[in-house]
Amino acid sequence: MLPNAVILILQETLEAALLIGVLLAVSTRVHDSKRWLPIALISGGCVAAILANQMGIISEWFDYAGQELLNALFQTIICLTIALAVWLTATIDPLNPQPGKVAAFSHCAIVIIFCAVVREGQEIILYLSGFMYTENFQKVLTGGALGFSIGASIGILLFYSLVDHAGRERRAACLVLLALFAGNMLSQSTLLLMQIDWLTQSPPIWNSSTLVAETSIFGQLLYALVGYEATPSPIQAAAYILGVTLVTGANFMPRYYPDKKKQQVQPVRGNDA
Amino acid sequence: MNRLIIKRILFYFGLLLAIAVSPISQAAPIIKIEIKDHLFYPSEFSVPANTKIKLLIINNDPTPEEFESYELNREKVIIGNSKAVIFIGPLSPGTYPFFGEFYPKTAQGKILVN
Amino acid sequence: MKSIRVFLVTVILAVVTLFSFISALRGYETSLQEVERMFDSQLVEKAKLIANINVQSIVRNVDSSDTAFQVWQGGNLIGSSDNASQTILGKLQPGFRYHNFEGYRWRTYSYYNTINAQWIIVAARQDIRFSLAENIALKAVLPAVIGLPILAVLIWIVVSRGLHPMRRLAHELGDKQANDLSPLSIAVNSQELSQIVSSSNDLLARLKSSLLREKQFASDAAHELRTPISSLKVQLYNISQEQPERNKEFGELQKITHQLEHVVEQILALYRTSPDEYHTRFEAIDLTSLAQQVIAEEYDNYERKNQQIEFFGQRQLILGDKFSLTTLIQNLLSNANKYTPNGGHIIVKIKRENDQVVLLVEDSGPGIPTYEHERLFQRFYRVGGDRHTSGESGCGLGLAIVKRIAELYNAEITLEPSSFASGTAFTLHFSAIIPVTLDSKQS
Repeated sequence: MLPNAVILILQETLEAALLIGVLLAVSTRVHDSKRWLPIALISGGCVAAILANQMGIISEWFDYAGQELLNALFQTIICLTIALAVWLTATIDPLNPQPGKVAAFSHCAIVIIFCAVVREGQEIILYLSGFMYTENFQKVLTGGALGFSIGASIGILLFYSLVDHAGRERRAACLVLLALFAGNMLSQSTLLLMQIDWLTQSPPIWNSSTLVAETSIFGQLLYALVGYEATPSPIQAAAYILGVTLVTGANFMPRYYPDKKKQQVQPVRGNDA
Repeated sequence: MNRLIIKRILFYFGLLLAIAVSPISQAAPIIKIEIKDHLFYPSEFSVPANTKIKLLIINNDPTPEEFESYELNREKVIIGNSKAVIFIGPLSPGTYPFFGEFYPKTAQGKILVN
Repeated sequence: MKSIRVFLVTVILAVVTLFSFISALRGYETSLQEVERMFDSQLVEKAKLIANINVQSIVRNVDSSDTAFQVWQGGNLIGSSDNASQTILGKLQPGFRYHNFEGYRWRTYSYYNTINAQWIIVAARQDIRFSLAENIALKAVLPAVIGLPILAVLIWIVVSRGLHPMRRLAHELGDKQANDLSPLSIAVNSQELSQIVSSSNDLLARLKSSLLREKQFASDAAHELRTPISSLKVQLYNISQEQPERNKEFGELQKITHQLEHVVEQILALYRTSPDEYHTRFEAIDLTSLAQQVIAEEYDNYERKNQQIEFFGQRQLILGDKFSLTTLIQNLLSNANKYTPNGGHIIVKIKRENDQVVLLVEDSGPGIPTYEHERLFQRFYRVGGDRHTSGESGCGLGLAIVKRIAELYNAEITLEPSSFASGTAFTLHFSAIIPVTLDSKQS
């Protein structure tokens, strides 16, 4: 029971912790308040509990496709909102942050963390609720505490190692992590659509399960970090690349198509020589 | 400018989706798997290769279970006393193990594709 | 702003958690494997025992149903426990495997007895086996989990204690007044901090002596300049009397000399106002009558520029000294006089706002752009720099003196656009004295 609980809860926590760590590191750059974090965590947790409670009804929607559709929706929203948040941070001037854009970034962060917490939270709640009144509950809780603490610790270390670096390196690292995460989300959503036969499955484009098995610890870590898949189908790979491109594009677009307005409003600083 | 490009990307993605989402033309063969006392019944069965299969999983336990398989790339929570549908395949011949992620010590099974 | 304490505590805790929990999990896994191996060897023992007993019937399990066995010979089931099924449990191949029957998952071991060509299959219930094994393995993990909160509190306390001298130092530095250059009195016994304390004390001492030197130099120089300027004035007067035909040139010379004298007087006023000197000699002064006096003295200047000056105010008492307050009002007013064009307006108001006396000087001059406000009060700074357009001469000391005197009184200076179409309003807030008694005295 215990290692199982550790792995299950670690997987879910790690995903949320990575996101929160990276977004916090990004938000220190744009100097917004960190108020979005508790808002997103609490509201996400509540909605996750409601969804877990109603999962029986939800999974019967669309001819037993409700669960997958809901999760795919959340994943797509996460991917698109990450792209939007990255675009916003790329246009915010860290020395003179525009309040409107900083607020918009905070809203994006709320949406991203909210969706992630709802997704991860409902699975954890369903899992724990199954053991609620059994003799194994203590073991599962212990395992859950272990998994949660390990995930949270990795998130904290990631955050501080990101914040510790100078602006440029930090931006690059955050961008890479967010882009991979967005790709991972989009590719997972296609997988869910295949599971309910809304997308047709085609044979995998490669099989690296002998090289790095998904069941191995390394495979699990790669899965959490970059969404490693040993046997991905072409659509999945395409969705992954699309997600990564979307986010990197959102980062570099403002550089090649700079805002015309912004150049005009360059403040004329004093003739106080 | 950039909004236009994002829109264009989204449009192509939609197009790709529309092509990929083909109507379910032929009904996939159904295989029923039951869960009882955290065991799969049947825990081992064979399916033909290169065919799409519809798995109908019925959870007779009061507790939720998660059907998971790394080899099949499938993962789905089936809450207590309810049923769920998962499509798998077309698959190439081989052995595809699956397990219940919530009770992996007992809920184990495999699909033989031939 | 990052807190060193939060950083240290969270990072140390995260690292400790990661390592202790992962090693606890490793411990759990190895002990689980050990126990499972032990159970497996028990299964082998049982299989061998059954082979030796040579069971040939269905045997009732005594008081537990978590093990089962079958004996096969030539494809026939010749003996079994009563909870075993009729089909082969697993395979007739030597070794361990898993098999589901009777609604449970079992760990099976198949053993081939070569002597009588019998297959013995022994099965033990996986869920019970695992539960037992896990209970043992769990003991390897629990201390780490329970210990973590205690560890967290300990780390918090240790880090806080370690950072305590630093917090005290930061506190002392933060509490220091801007003009307090006395050395830090904090006693530190840590290597890292004593360096900081001694370095900043060194710095403070050097700053103090260099400030003192500057002050001394300026005031000495100004003082020394006074005498030659006075004699210069006398000599100029004498020569001008002798050569009345060159009156125009001498007039210019006299004007320049007057300016020189003014600068020297201003420098002296600036450095004479040191806090310790003044507070001791403070007395109750009526700001209104003082302002009226100054306006009356300088009235010629306004008339010359055809400016309209208005004064509003009633008797308002503040604690202060006459000389510094006169200098302050003089400087503010001459500033307004200089930078307000011919025919402009100047308003001086003195009023009471709660426990404060407010002095307001407004003009209809060109106004001062916001980005200049910061530097306005710096010494020798003039708005617009060399392109100063008012055509007025000045040394840029006036407002520096105003600011310095205001600091002596803890009076806040604010700069706003005036109520005229253009221009500046200077507002100073002084604290009033003994409001109630004075009001009653007045009536």
